[in-house]
Amino acid sequence: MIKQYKINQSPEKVLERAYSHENKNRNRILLIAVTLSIVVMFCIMSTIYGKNQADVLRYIQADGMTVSTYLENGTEDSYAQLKKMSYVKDVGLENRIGKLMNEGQNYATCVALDSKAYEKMVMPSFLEVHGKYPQEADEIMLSVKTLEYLGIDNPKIGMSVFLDFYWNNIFSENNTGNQRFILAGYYIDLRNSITQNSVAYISQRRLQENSIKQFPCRLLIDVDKNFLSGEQIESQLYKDLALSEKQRIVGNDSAAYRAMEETVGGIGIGILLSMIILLALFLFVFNVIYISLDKEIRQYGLLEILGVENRQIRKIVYFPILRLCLIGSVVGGIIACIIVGVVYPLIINRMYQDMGGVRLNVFFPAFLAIACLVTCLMVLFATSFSLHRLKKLTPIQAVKYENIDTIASGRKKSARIVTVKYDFQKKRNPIWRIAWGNVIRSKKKFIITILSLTLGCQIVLMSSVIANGTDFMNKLLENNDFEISLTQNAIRTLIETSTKTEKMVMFDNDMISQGEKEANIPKNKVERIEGFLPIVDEYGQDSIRILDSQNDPLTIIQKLDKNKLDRIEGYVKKNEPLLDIDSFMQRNGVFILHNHLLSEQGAEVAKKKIGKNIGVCDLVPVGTDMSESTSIPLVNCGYIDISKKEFPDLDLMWQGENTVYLIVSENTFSTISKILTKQTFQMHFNVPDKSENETKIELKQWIRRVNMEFQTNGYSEKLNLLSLTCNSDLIASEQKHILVTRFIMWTISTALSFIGIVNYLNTIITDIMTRKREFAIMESIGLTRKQLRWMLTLEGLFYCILIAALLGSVGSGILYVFGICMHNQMEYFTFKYPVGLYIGIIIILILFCTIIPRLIYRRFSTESAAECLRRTSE
Amino acid sequence: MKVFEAISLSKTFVNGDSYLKVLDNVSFVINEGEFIAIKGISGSGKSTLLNIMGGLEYPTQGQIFVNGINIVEMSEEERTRFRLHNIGFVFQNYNLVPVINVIENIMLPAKLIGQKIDEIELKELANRLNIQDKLYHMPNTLSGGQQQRVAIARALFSKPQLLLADEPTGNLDSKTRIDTIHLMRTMCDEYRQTMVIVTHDEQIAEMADRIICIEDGRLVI
Repeated sequence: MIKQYKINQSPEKVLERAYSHENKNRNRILLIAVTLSIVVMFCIMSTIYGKNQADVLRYIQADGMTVSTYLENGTEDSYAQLKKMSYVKDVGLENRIGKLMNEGQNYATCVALDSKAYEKMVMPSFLEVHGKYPQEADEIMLSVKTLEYLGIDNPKIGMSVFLDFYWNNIFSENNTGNQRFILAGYYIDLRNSITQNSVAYISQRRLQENSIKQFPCRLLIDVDKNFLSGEQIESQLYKDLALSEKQRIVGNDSAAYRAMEETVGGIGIGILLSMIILLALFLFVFNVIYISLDKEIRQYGLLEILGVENRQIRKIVYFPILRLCLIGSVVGGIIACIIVGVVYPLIINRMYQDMGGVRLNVFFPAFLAIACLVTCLMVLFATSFSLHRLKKLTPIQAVKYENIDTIASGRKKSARIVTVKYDFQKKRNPIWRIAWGNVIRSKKKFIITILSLTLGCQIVLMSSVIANGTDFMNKLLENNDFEISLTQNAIRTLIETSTKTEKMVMFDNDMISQGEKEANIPKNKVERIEGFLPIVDEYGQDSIRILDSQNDPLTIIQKLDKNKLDRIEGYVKKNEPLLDIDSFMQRNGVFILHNHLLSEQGAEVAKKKIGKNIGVCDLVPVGTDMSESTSIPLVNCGYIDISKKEFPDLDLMWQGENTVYLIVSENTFSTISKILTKQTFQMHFNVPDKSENETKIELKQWIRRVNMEFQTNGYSEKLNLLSLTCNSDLIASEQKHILVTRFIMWTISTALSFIGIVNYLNTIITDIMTRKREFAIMESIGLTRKQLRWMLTLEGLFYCILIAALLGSVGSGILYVFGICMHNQMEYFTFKYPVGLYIGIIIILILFCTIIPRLIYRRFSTESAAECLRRTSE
Repeated sequence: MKVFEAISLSKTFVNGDSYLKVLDNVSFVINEGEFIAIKGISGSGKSTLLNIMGGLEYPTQGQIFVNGINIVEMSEEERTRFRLHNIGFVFQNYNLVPVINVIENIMLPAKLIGQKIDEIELKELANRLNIQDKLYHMPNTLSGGQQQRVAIARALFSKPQLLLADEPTGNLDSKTRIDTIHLMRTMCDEYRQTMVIVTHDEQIAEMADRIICIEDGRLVI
């Protein structure tokens, strides 16, 4: 009989196999925990990273290049300095050197790039590229938009195109005017078509042949610090580079930085969120292991008595767990691959289709490896932490181990006996007391369960706050339904070419009345952005010229209403204390607003310009003698960079694009209007939802008619006087992106809350299974099964009350602080406490915490109390 | 020949601010092959003394020599190894490993030492303890007496020099009780083992070569 037995097999093997067999249920739970953790971690990582990558690509395509930092007027010396810097990956050369014109209108900027700038920084932003970058002097690369503008619908590489080319330097006349170019290549891009001109790429040889030096030029800087904001990179570069007065660094937030900000509200919050998610997963795994190893402590104590060394016990414990990790990794990996590799793309890419061709790739096998590794490490850490209990106990203590380290019996607490006056006559329901006692019986289990569930719920609430707060729809819903604006191109063309600019109102009242009649523009609900188109006198020019821009920005005077004045006053007092706010409010003062056009040295010069006069007079036809013109002196109160994060939304015309604003108060505006002709730059209004579509159609027709009338005065048919922005169109174009963002945030929330619930289920199932004998004892002393079920319901209720209280107090505080942080990161972030979700979570918790224990008890209480007692006492 | 020596053993349990002295300056010697009974009422400290003798608990003060080696100065791991090679235990509540069957339970300490299992000897031991037909049963399918006999077989099979038994017959009826102690005594004699048994049963104590009485943590002569 004995011979059938492998009598000399190693005792560790025997024990390990026996324990594995005995702990089948525990192993199943552990396997589920490992699998679930891997699936959730992989799904979350892949989703966030995938969305982030897609957003990065979207931003790169919208920016027209992969880099967001550049140095204006870069010299050979600064090029060399940059190349030596450890955090600068690449430096590209960009010469914005010329333009393509049509009937006096500039429709494309001509740019020459070196190979690095083209291949690494610009080409990746194109949706499609055909041909190659121009190499010869007469070669050119055009965008499909430009080709369409030129009427070329079917471009061919090598075809001849005749274009009006001019150098930006008006004194360079070589090779200017209408000439033949060879189309070396063409591309499709997604650059913001309203605010940016198309770019035509020419060869560097063209520069050489026309004796134009490569330097100074714009140096495109690829910085290896995506986690830093543009502002931080800029100040770092200012610190590290020796620059001349004319040089200026422009550091915008990188595409990666913006994408991260949009996905989770910034890198810092991203890291915090990752830590919380990891903590939630760790608590889940830890709880499973802690509870499951709890009952085995006695067994390990017994083995110690028998002489099994700790090393051998560790082997007995760790081997099966490692095997489970391995199986869990395979099973989790397969499930995760199916979800992320097959199901996700089906759902998300359907949403992401038609969004400029950006496909959301969420399958990154490296993340699967990380998820498996992190989960296994968490499991091993949790195991070693749980086994640590054994180390602290003598074998005899271990063999008698019962985890009833109640909160009241902490080791450091005094053991003195407190005599409480007990009211024996008072009717008390002992079930309540027993239930509460059970809840707090094991301090660690109690804390971990509460923490894990609260954390799970808190993450759901936080995800909801992020999803709702960062929802781009918030920003769009703040917009007006319709905005009718004068176009910058029309203003420039009129100023430069019209002979009737004296007292000219470009968007006049007749036009507006016509709109009211024809397009049902509501008369009394229209708000206007008003201002002036000034000619700035020579002294004033001194103040404006220090703003360094190669694009010749348009200078306008814009009026701010009371509300906007308050905002700018608040901003100046908080952020720009050196500026002269008093003169601005009371004495014809102006703030000069610019879009990041001052270098560090320029900012020093700008300080000296505060208090100087800026004379402005009304528009006059080109060539008019200005000496007779009446001007109004305004006081320069200081410069404000509108690209700063904290800068308030002031409804600036053209969102700061290529414009310098002289901002004035209403009083100053009234004074100026005595001399200068008031202009309406924009009118915006809302209409009732039901008539929005109808109004949109009518407005589009009216605007088309106004533009056609304008073009009949001899202007190009591509030049529009007015442009119409319909918020519903913007919402429609962003809808899919918003949907994806929401979907992703809700996926993460659901995954984490699922983890929280599974954690609770595990706690309850294990708890009820280990308490079978206790239930039998209670039954034997007279408690009915109904009362036992009620006791379990009460225990669940206590958990719910505690979690609800924690979420409502500490959780709400955290959410509020979190909301403030997010708002500081993103101006459009809207904090809204998710009351509905909070109530929903509590209701679900109550259902789970009260019904599940009853069901589990019913499932495991099939034997009679006597049977159970006999079995468990053996 | 001295197998065991306890010198000035004291043990105090601390619970919060209160202290409970369980053993107070206990010293005694046990010679090879002796069958000793430690007798005392409940709470007198006899189980604690046995646990300390086996290195399962630490004394607050004092020294313990087993075969001339001071086990108090050993590390936890050393003590476990020492226990495995030199000391066997039998408990009142048997403490069988529930996940392995009877034969594995009996062989476990011997296997841990690395002894080659002598099948004939094992069978013979099982026969003498009358558990030969229970060898492949799981512990929870046996009666209390059978489980206790398995625990004794386990303690004897690896032939430890010192066998410590804490109320080994506490859960047994009076006839089985006496039979079991007889059997243990016989086996110990055969295997030349020294046995220390904790009991509060006069009849069992009478069967010992020597009785050590303990009262309020002190030896009573």
